[in-house]
Amino acid sequence: MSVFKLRDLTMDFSSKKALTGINMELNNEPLGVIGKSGAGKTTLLKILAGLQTQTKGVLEYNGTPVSSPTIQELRRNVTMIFQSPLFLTGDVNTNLSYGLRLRGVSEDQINQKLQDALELVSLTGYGERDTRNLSGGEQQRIALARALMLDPEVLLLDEPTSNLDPVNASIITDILIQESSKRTVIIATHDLEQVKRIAKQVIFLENGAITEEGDPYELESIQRFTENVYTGISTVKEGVSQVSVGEIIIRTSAPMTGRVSLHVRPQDIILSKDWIETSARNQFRGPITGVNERYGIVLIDIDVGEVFSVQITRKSFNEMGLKLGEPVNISFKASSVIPL
Amino acid sequence: MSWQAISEGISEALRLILSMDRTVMEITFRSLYTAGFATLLSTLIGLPLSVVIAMKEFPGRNTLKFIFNSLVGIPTVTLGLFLYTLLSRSGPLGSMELLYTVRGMSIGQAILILPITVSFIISAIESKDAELRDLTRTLGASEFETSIAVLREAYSGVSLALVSSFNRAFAELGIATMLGANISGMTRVLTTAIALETSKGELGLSFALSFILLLVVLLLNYVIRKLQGGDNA
Repeated sequence: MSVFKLRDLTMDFSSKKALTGINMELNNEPLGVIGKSGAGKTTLLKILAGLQTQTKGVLEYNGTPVSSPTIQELRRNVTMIFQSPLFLTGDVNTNLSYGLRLRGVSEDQINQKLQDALELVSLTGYGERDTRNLSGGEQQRIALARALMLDPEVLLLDEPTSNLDPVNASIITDILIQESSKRTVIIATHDLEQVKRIAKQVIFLENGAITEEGDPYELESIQRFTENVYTGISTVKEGVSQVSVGEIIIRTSAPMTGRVSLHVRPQDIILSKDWIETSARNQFRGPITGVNERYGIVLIDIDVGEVFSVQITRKSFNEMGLKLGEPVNISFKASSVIPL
Repeated sequence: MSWQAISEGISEALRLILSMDRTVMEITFRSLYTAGFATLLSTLIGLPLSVVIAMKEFPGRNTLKFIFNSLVGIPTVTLGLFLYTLLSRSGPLGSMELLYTVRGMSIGQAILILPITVSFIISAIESKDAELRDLTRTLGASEFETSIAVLREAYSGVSLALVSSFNRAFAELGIATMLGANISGMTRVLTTAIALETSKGELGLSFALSFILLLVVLLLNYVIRKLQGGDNA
């Protein structure tokens, strides 16, 4: 049986349409939600969590349409984790116990669960620490522990690792893989590697609509992006994000920190034989490692430490007289880099 | 003359406080009681009202916020006059016999400070992230439990609202005069006594009572700051 069924789900904010006519059935397989910022990922998750109500359409949870009398039932079984963890004033234990206290669970049982939850996120002994004094990674792990204390049927995660360092991100990813066998895990993320590790199903949101869905390895939307998709760690310097991918640094105008996946469209890259003076913030040099032709368009692979596919016309290709193994320059603007 | 009056006032105030002068004690306690009861009434009505206005979406919400914000500075004599007309023997609420009673003064002051209570609590709640509400809800809190959690997180703002409300009631003169009429042993409070003694030319006693008024306000604020964690005391 499906956990969630969405029929023609639409969400209108006064300024814009966040979701338009979503139809979808979710079983208990882990689901990845991908798409650019502003595509509607957070709104979708909040509706599934019962934190927002759609303006149109029906959300069914375990076969029952969600409405104001049943929304509490939904909230008690579906727990969401936010991009930046938030805490109630007090120590870790206070935060971890909050949900169970609301449910009237005895203090003895809560204490037992506290130990298990802290152990699960490898933060044993952190119970009496003030949440404000934890690092970002520790905070998100505590937020995860707090959600898991409740043993929810569905765990929703909104870009849970996008502000974290790789070590903490991978700790969380590992826990989520483990948890996905016990409950339905739905994760919105920019990190394609993470989606592939966690999710069995993926939907791709674009302007509030699902444009693709399927297996993360087969999904066309991901296939479409397998050319020129790079995952790395981003730091912001003077308003420009610098993403270290292997040996190279890709500059992008989208402000991002942490582990991110980027895409550069093959048609947005300029190829030149020599170094050119340009306003483009990204310029690399390397040998041509492959030439493919499709429908009169030539895709050239250039290895500059990472392989970039560059699209040029047949005519340019002939005129430039490019050969396999020949070193060339590629350049693209920071604003052409699309965060996924 | 005036400097002398102040220094005499201070020594007179000390003498009255140290000797626990019966009349002064009585007036001070009546002031505390009247303002305290007014704050209690205003909180009982204002707290749930603020929670609804701050956390629910409904038509007219912004208008309501605007009205409460505007009424924060309402002149006490204007409100006093208005209430006097309502409560006077021949007025529409005259049969309640609230005029010239401590209870009547308390109710009047409660109406005066309700906008302060409501406006301040609303901004205390709104200073907390909307995400805080999402957090408590997703952890399974009902709407009521969410309000409790938000109020607890906004604790320092809420307590500031209550203290400011109390201060305004405690230090106001217009309503106490209009509805209480400064009847000795019945409705005389610190502010009305100060006004009377000043008009009689008893500046020393006026200053003494004023210092007691200030002292209570300072002490109260100090205690509240300490309770809030003391970082700004």
